[in-house]
Amino acid sequence: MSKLISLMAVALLCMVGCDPCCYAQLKVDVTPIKLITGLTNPTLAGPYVLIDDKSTPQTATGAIVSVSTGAKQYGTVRVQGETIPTLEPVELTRIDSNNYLVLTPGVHRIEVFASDPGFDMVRVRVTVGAAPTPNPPTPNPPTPTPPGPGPSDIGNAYNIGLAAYQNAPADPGHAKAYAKIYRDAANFLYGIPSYKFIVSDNEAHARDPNRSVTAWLDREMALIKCVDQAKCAQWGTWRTKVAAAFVDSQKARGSYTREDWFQAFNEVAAALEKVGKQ
Amino acid sequence: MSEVRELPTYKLGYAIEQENRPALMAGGMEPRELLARAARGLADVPKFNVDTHPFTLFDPLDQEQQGACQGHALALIFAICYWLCTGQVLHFSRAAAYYLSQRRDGIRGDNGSTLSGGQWVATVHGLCLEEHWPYPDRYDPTEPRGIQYPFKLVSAQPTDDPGLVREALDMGLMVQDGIGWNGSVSRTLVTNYVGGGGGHSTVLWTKKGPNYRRLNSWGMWDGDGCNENTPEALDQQVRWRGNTHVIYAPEQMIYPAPLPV
Repeated sequence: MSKLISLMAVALLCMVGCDPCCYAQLKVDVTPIKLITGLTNPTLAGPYVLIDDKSTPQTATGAIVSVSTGAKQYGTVRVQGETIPTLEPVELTRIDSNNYLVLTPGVHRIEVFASDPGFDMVRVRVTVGAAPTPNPPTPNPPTPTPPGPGPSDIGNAYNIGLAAYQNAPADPGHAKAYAKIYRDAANFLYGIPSYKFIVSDNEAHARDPNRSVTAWLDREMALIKCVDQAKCAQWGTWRTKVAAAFVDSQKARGSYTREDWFQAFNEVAAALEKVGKQ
Repeated sequence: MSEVRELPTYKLGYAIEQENRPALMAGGMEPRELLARAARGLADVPKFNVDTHPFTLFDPLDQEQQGACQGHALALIFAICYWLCTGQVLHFSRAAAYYLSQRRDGIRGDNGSTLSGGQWVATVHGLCLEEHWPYPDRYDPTEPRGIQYPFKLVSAQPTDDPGLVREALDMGLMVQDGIGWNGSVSRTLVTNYVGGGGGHSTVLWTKKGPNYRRLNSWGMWDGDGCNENTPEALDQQVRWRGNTHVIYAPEQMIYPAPLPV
């Protein structure tokens, strides 16, 4: 087993993303590795790995998830994982009682849960393989970019701000009004002035602007009169593109937290506030 | 004054005599530690407003004719924590919360459950959604086949420190209580608490001005499903021997990643 780990340790680092949340004595480490498969009778000889002539060596990337419980002895330690965002269970190959190998390409969430006595839990994010390729550029150019701030001036941490800015028509009046709506939408998630949700599994509630941020957004934006039909159509296109940017952003992050929704709404607002600025 | 009028009392269900405090201690985090973790806020977000009505997010729950108050309180806590984590609302299984708690408690028949049973469901077993295990019209603990329980929470150890409870509530966390229920607490505004009576479990969350809101599981009880407790009355409830208060927080909640919206 130690030989296997040594072989795996002869590697370059591959990209890994870890998003741990943990407390108490349970500790989880993630070590990115490359490994070589297809080896027959491998042996180490100094700096060389000797293999049979029948071997068909190929490289692969992976990660080792190492679990340690410190001084505390738990009766049960469970390790499981799922791929984001499909939530398909990801296969973990048990190397030994403390180490697990992840070979499936993608972004995964690995949870380690220890109990008896008490409980402890650590969750880490593991990425195996190359980063997701960015979305290809849209085939049609966006509606004319308003003058003023360039793309580098637009906050784009969620990959939404730039889409909101570049697809906005040259209509600072409406842009300012819509910006306020997005800022107010964000504040509902912190109870300002009341609590609203993004979506609910109660279908009737999900359509109620008194409860739902998205229903409230739709209503408030519809209340703003738009008399220039061409600009109205452009704003309609804008909403579609921004909605698509929200979906892509959630997929890239795995999912949004409430905090993410707050920040993303404000990113749209900040981008709109720059429309028409010299 | 309407605040003086005693409100009706419906089904209870907190098995106060069978509460397992050592199990609650073993299964929970030190409360100060949980509050410290919850207080690690991120930059650029507003202070969470606790002075607003919670039932814009979901309707009050109704345990109807079963002694399922503890299960209802636990399901509501999951819903609140899930919204605090994701901004989205899901409805959690009250039946699973009640019947699985009973299984842990070893209680048979419609005789209630304990907070320690609920804590085990929340932190070890996990909970499912209402759609997967709906609440039946009458007592029926039969577990549907093939359900997954992918939602879990962290809880604190029980506390009888009123300052800690109020600090948690002021931060926007929630508290599950298990208390002796009687006329002193069954009022629109509870100003003075005297213990005793059958056991009942509810959720404390949000405030109305200086007063702490109790979310009950009796439908539109008192018109909106809630009553309020002055800080002094809340302190009395927390200090009363035999009552149990457990702080819950969304920190480290486990849940399947929501689909993009």
